[in-house]
Amino acid sequence: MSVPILKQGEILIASIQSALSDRELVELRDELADRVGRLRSRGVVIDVTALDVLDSFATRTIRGIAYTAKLRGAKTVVVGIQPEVAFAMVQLGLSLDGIATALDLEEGMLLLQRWPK
Amino acid sequence: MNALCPMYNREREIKVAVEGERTLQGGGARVDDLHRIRELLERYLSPMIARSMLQKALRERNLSQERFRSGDAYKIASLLRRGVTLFVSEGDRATALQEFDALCQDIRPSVAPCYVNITSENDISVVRNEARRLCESAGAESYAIQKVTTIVSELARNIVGYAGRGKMELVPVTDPDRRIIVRASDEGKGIPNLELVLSGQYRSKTGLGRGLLGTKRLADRFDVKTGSTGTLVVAEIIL
Ligand SMILES: Nc1ncnc2c1ncn2[C@@H]1O[C@H](COP(=O)(O)OP(=O)(O)OP(=O)(O)O)[C@@H](O)[C@H]1O
Ligand SMILES: [Mg+2]
Repeated sequence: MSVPILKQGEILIASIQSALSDRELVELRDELADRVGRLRSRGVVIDVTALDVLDSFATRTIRGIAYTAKLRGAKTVVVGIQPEVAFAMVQLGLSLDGIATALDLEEGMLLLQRWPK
Repeated sequence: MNALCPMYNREREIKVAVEGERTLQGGGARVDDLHRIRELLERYLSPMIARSMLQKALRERNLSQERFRSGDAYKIASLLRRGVTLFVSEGDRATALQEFDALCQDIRPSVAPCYVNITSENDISVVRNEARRLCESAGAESYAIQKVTTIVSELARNIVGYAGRGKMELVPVTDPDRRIIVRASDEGKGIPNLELVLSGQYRSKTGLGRGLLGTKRLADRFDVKTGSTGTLVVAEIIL
């Protein structure tokens, strides 16, 4: 597994360290789905700062993560979308509709902690 | 996987010491591009600001002054222009920018085009990385790099997903303006409903149906030729 997943209380933090291939992204999705269920997590933070592109595939996969987490009772926050990546996403007509986003890891954690149960 | 991308035509290695002194490897008489940039900056800015600008640019491009190659100076030049605009006093600004642009023109390496065969999902990452490298060598700034890498990613994925295999070409062009031409070709079955896809009304079974239309939006020029014997997508991005 190329993306380390940390457990911080009831929250899982997936901290992407480098550009990912499609397969690695799918692995991350499956691994997170598994752990959210097993560890009964309340929240997932995905740090995408190091991702080089958020193209249609990556967007779809991240939406998939959020949706699966939601079915298992966990909220997802995506943090660290770089300005130029956000710009390309908008031009592509892609969005992370319905998924919370925050500037960085700290803000993402705060957001999850303040979320009403 | 087959990435054939010679970085520069005039490959040479230069060793540059951090403070002032420099050692040149091979020939010794060659002009040191980094040094020329620094001289120019120091003529218009305090040495401290000049140095911190240089260090920041090197860091951003993942370069170090110890192992500096021909062409690297140009990679950081595009990052320094903004600093020149910001920090040089108003009276000197126009002249400084003019000199800076002339210097950039002078140190610009000729970047070789790049060809990657696309045969598997893994090649999507390969060609994306090559695209980023090529953009940086051509001195592109982050938004332009993002456009190119995103387009390359979408087109490569379509090749893998719908044609099985194909080819991608990345061609840097400087005349009349600085741009990168991305050519994605395959011998698959073609796109049956191209007009619908480009109208934005298309509902994809396999994805979000955004790849081609998004590519068209991101590119400054865009063209698709498709038929029962294959597809060619050409996208141009101005740097
Ligand atoms: N190289 C190709 N050869 C054959 N058909 C293609 C090719 N590229 C695209 N297509 C067809 O055109 C459609 C639209 O492609 P596009 O990239 O816009 O969306 P998508 O691949 O379906 O979804 P997304 O890219 O958003 O994940 C595809 O669903 C596919 O049917
Ligand atoms: Mg596609």
